[in-house]
Amino acid sequence: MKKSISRKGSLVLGLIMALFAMLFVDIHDAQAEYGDVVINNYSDGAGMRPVVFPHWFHRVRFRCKVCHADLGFKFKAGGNEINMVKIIDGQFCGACHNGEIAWSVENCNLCHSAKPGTPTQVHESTIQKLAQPAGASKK
Amino acid sequence: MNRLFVQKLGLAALLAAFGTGAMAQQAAAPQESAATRLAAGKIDKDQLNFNMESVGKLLETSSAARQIDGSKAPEAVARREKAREVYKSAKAALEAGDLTKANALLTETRATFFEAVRLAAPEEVSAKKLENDYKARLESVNALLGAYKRVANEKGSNAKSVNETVGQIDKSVAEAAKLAAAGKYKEGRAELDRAYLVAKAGVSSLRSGDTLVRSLNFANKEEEYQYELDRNDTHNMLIKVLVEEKRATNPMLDKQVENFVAKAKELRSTAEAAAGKKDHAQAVKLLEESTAELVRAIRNAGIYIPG
Amino acid sequence: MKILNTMVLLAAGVAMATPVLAEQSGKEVFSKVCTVCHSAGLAGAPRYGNGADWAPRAANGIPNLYQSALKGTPKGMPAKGGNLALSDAEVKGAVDYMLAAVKDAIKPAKAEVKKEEPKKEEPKRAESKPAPAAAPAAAPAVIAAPTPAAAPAAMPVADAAASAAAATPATTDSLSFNRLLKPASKRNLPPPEDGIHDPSNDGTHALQPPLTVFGALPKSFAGNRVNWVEALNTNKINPRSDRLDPKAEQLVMDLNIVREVKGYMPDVVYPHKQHTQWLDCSNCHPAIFVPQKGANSISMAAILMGEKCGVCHGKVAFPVSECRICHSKKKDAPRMSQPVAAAPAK
Repeated sequence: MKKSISRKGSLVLGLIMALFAMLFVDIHDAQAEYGDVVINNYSDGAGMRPVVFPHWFHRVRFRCKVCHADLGFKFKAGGNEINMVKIIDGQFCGACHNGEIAWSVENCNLCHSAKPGTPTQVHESTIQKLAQPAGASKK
Repeated sequence: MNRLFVQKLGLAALLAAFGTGAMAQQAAAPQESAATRLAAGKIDKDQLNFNMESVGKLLETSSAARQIDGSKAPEAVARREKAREVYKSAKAALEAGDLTKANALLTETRATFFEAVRLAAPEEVSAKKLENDYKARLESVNALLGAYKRVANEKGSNAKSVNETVGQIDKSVAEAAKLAAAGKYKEGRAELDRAYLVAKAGVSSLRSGDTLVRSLNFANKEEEYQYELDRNDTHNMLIKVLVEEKRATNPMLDKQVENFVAKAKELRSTAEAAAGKKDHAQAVKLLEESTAELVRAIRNAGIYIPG
Repeated sequence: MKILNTMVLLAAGVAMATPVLAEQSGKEVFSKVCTVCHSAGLAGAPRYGNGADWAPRAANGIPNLYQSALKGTPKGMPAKGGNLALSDAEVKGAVDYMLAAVKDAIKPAKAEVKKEEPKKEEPKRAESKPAPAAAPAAAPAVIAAPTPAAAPAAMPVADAAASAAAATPATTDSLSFNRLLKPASKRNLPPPEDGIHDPSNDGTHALQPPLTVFGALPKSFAGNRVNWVEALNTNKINPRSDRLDPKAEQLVMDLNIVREVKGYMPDVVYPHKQHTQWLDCSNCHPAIFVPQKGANSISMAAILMGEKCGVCHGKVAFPVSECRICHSKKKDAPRMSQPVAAAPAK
């Protein structure tokens, strides 16, 4: 009797533990990815953290053409001169981040999440590797 | 006993799955996203202070605030006043220590402010973009139309259907131009989109399944010399991109690579000198050797690339 | 038998009642109890996010780490961090939370243990597709729950996802010789070290970590380390072609352009098909490429500097360290320059 409990009972216990673990362990923090674009045209000046745009997350949900052909985003980090007025008006990011297709633009800190002072760049791009390691290149 | 145990185990697993399923359902009711995770998080006092400051900037100094300041619409200014009031009460709640209330009021401030912005004719700011979008689309339509005509000509396609298609596109483009001239860039762009789709479909139907070959023919040795210069530059950059990290950790490798690179540089300057004397054939040969040295350097580092 | 019965019912009851119980997450426990010593490394405590501190300790196996946390160590760790009111699960959750921050540095210790899990997790995670309606991160956990895990219990799903995603190439720094295969310790760095996201921002912590999504996608060796074209073709992802209409069809054109190159390097084959699956003609034509044969002079140097193909490749699409994806048409003999008298280009 004792033997069966210690073997099989521990299996059940294992199940319970696994349950607890899966329900209560937190997801670890976000990490910058290849293709993340830091946009810092006006953020530093306005006292907000620069914006980090994650390509990978959007790629899973939209094909390139939707933003770059239909919505008018140019292929240039910082080259679109996006500001809050345009976003609130429904241009650029505001075309989807309006509470309907995606969360609304009131969630400031989800976009404005880069370390203050980070220059506009495409994270881990080849040009960064070729240019100064200080990451000062503007592409 | 074994069977009974297994039954119990199965029951446990089933119930567990249901339980977690139920919980997951609850969690899934509002579709999960970064925003819901953020909202569900515990409110942190420091963060709230920071957010309070950010919203303050939003209200007073942001591009949106400037838009309202410069706007002629009294409703916009009035709505912004309302936002300011909500902001004041949010600040008061924060000072009183009621974080939840402060957070909620802050959200309301933002929402009210955005309404104010929408009343302040934000289209003025976006107008330039609409014009740019129109121009970009027009360029694309023209490019595709030119390609379509050329390819149709090359392939000797049925003249009638080609003319029809071209006529359709031309008509749409003219329509769009009229709208654009009247300042209606958004509608103009919509019209251009129609032309664009026709052009796109046309080119696609002509070209689908083809293979085009861009062969390597040089008009003269000078052109080839330019090509070789590029090739040499490329390999220099490839050394940086492919081998840099390894060089940093392996001093012996670093020295070897350095030797190859030095030899390559020497050959290149000789080549450039030869080109200066208009002896492009010799320059090309020297550059080929220089690039070969760089290829050796990369291979030496353990990365195989064809020569 | 009776005890077994009670345990089973307990499990069920607990599972149902979990929302009410509200045990603290590993992160919460860490920020309340553990951070005091483990953030700054007081009294020699292994620091949060510091792989070098954790690697030797994790080398003895994770269960040993749990024991240290639960029972304390002679070196100075108090049992349950000095807070005996915490449950064992909460303490283990906190340990897991700290381990998650250094998972790459301590991978060798967990490699054997985790080998079985990823195999079982991956086919199941394919169901939790990150389509526009992203399933809650708890969903993969639900699917994996009934699997009687052979490995010691309480390995967080997040960790499994991480090791599943990164289990393929280099597991230690010694494999860093291979091309741009960054050693695991330099890939996907946590926020305090990646130089981009600000960890003191609450928004940063609410964002979805890429590895939870990448675990289910076909792998590649560079860039995001995801083979996006294959992911699309095998329907692991289903991105929209139109902002508003999820059912809109993408107009795909199949046209190959072969560009011959000098020497032994295989010729480049540019496939419109894979590109038009994602892009629109207007994205490239005419601003980047003139839609006419012979009208574009493209060089690798230009591409590396971010022009022509480099507008996307090396920034968002796979970087050009993956030569053979483009240089794919083999030659039997090296191509040397043609005699000058030959036909001019075009």
